[in-house]
Amino acid sequence: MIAVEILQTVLLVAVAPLMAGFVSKVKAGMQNRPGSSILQPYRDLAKLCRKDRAVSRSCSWLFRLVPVVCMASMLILAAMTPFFYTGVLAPYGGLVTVVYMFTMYRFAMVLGGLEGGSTFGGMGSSREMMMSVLIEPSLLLGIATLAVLSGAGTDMGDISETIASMGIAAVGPALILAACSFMITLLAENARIPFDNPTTHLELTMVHEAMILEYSGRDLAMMEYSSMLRMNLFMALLGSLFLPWGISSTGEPVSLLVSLALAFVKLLTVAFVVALVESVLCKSRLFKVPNLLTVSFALSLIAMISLYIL
Amino acid sequence: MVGTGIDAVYLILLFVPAIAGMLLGLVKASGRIPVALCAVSCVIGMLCYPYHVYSPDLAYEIPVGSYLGSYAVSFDQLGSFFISISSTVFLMIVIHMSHSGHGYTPGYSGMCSALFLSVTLCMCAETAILLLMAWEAVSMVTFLMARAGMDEGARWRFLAVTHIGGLVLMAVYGYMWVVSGSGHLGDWDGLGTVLGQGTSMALALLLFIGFGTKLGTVPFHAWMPDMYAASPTHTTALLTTVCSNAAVLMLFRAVYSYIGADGLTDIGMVVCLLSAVTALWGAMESMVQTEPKRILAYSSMENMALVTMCLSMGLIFWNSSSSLTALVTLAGLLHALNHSVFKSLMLLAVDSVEDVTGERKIDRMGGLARVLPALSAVALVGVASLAAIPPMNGFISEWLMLQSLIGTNAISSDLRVAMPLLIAMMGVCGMIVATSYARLFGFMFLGRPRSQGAADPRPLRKGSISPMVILALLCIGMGMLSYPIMNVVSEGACLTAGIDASYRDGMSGSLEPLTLGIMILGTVAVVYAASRLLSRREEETDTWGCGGTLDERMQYSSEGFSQPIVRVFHPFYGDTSSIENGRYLTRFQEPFVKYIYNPLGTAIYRVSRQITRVQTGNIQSYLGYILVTLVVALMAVRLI
Repeated sequence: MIAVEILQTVLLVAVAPLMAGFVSKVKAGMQNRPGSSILQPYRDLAKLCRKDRAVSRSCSWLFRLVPVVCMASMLILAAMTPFFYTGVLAPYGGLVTVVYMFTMYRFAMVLGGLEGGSTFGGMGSSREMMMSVLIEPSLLLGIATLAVLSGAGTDMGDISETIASMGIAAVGPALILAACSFMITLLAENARIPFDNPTTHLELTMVHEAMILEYSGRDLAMMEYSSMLRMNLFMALLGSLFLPWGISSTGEPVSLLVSLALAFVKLLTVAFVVALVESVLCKSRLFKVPNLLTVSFALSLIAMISLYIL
Repeated sequence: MVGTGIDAVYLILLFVPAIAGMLLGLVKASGRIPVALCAVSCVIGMLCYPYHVYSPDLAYEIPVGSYLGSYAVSFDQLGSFFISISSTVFLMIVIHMSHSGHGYTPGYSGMCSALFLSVTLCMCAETAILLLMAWEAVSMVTFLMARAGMDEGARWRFLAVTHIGGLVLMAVYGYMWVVSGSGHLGDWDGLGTVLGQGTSMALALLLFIGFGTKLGTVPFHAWMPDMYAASPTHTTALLTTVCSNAAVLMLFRAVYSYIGADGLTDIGMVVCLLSAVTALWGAMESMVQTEPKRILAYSSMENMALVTMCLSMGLIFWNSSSSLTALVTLAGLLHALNHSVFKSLMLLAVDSVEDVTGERKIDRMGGLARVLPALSAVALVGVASLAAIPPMNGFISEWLMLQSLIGTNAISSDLRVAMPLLIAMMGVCGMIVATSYARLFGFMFLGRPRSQGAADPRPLRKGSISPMVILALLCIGMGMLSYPIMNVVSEGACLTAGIDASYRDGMSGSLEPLTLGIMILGTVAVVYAASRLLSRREEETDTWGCGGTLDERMQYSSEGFSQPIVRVFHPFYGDTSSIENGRYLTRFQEPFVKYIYNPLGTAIYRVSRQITRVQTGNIQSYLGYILVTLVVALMAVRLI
């Protein structure tokens, strides 16, 4: 089944810009604009790869390494994530490691933001860390809820398979609350409205964009691609762990095809919800963000505790 | 009793050079020779675990006893492994010290040998009297190794707090000694059944408090940041690594072996709560410090709190699941060992940075990664380890901790309802410390130089980088090859504590650190190579300054960096802001100092003022006191 596992990893990596394109297309539709093509992110990445790079004199060797580490950590995560098949290419550490791989990505990006001594980079890094301090517990609690709910340990494929086989019995307060919390986490982690605005270049509101401001050319392409990939991985995780029904665990061709179709439906649905949220909400003030993140934290905490007391 | 001749040779090689180094240092013969002798002992100490495999029954008792019992050492599996890792760390610190150009006095070098001797004896002492003497020696030697003059109060506070802890420990060990009727620690196994439940619980709590003073459990941490910042960095490094290792090992043995973990669930809960508070507090405070050594001091506090948290959770799990107990104690002990490696690496790096720039505040450093790439690379490994980034060793022990927390589901007790809170605590803590280390590294090595010293640093001292490189490799190696280490530590811990289970049964997920590590390094290499294929011309520019030019002050300051987190957690920080002379200042007052230590100090001062009233200086009144005392004493004797 290694071929299927490789295929799902490649697919996850390949459709990431497509999903980003889809989100902006939906947003454009909501604003009554035709919007750019759904394939625009691919063109942007290709353009960036062709361009020259400008590197600040004040930057060190780490500046060139950061995009590589960001990209690599996301590629590894893609190999660890079940998408339409419960087996994964790299089952080397389960969900806990996934959380720490996200930390690795963020750590690298934050250090990249401090490179060059740009005021924007420092600002972005500082704000990103403030948010992630509040995101991290909900993320950990969310996955702990899954592990405890399924009773299948912390390996990704096992959780997905067990919850899928539990059928409707798995749908309880724990799973619903944890999924809601994960959805908020998804928005916060991926710099979406109301936490951050991915399209802004206004100094006062930038978080993610501020950190990658100094990057250009292929470095920027890698940073952009890895953040699209991160978004896609979060959406895939939501689909295959919190709503895993229909995912193939046997690897028979028919079930794989059904599962693949379902996986894309889930992905597009989540992307649509993200676009919807982005269209109807506005970016909240930076120091109001903790309130929303605390809601996410509370949801996941209640989800976990409800497993024991209900 | 020397089993074989080679045992005697080993012990002589282990202890005699250190003793010689100590004595030579005392007579102030030379600075170099004591350091060299200490290094010899360290090298032999590194071989302790391999030697234990070769000769498992290594033990020796000095044939002359004393009034308080004999002096004996013995090496078990856990102890010898701890000695091996601690000696490695010790050796690296000593090598760095001898290349650091601090010009330490012969006395200081002698003290290094004395510290090695006392720490090693703490870990291998077989009789209570030797253990207590060694523990006392550790406190005294570290006190002497703290620099006099910089912040004299700091080291006296340290002395006072550790002695309060030491007194508590002396009472506990003394009590156990009396009850067991033997000074040999080997006879103390399962003393808890003799002691009874109430006494066991009291003793266990006192043990956690006594060692907690050394490990920085709140509210006994008040000495730590000042002491760490005021001491020479090598003292700090030795104090936070090898001394903490010894304390953790002694604590583990005392609680799990002598008293026995059975029936200590309530104490486990209390200590667990205290540790969680300590970890959060250490993490949060490390965010706002502006001196690297203070940041690392609070981070030590956080890491050691995680260790005590694991040890206390072992007590909670004891009656429910022995495999979970094995897992969580392994997580704690392994974290202590890992901590000693990455923390010493960071402290040595900080020492080198302070040396080349001549600055002590991170707001006056910056941009060093460009001029000192090698130093910044090893420091990056250190911060990545501290921040638990895979595949470093810090990640492995945190992974084990989270595994045991998630595994709590398996226990039947209602206590598991509290576990989600601990998971959340781990999450918040982990992220705040990651922020704090990103800040530490970012402001030391990245950005633009913030002072003349950072802009034009002295060259790195020859030979000072090699110990750091070795420690950095150890960080990666102990992460990627963690299974053999975990097996050894867990086997030793289970032998000591009498746990009859494998930690692997407690793990609810799989972890393959070696494959994961190779995969991470491999993917980074492949992505790098692939990106080189795209590579085009690279243009060198200035950092974008919105059209203007940036001077060195026009970048984020370290205080600004931590500002958002401080605002979010404002009520806990107790920070006050004010504008003085056109400068915006934020002050942090530790609530523990403000609400516990300061009132306590005031109260003691007030009481002593009252007591001085009887000191009239008049000989008649003193004679009167003596008379009254005599009469009262005689009456008391008569009545009793």
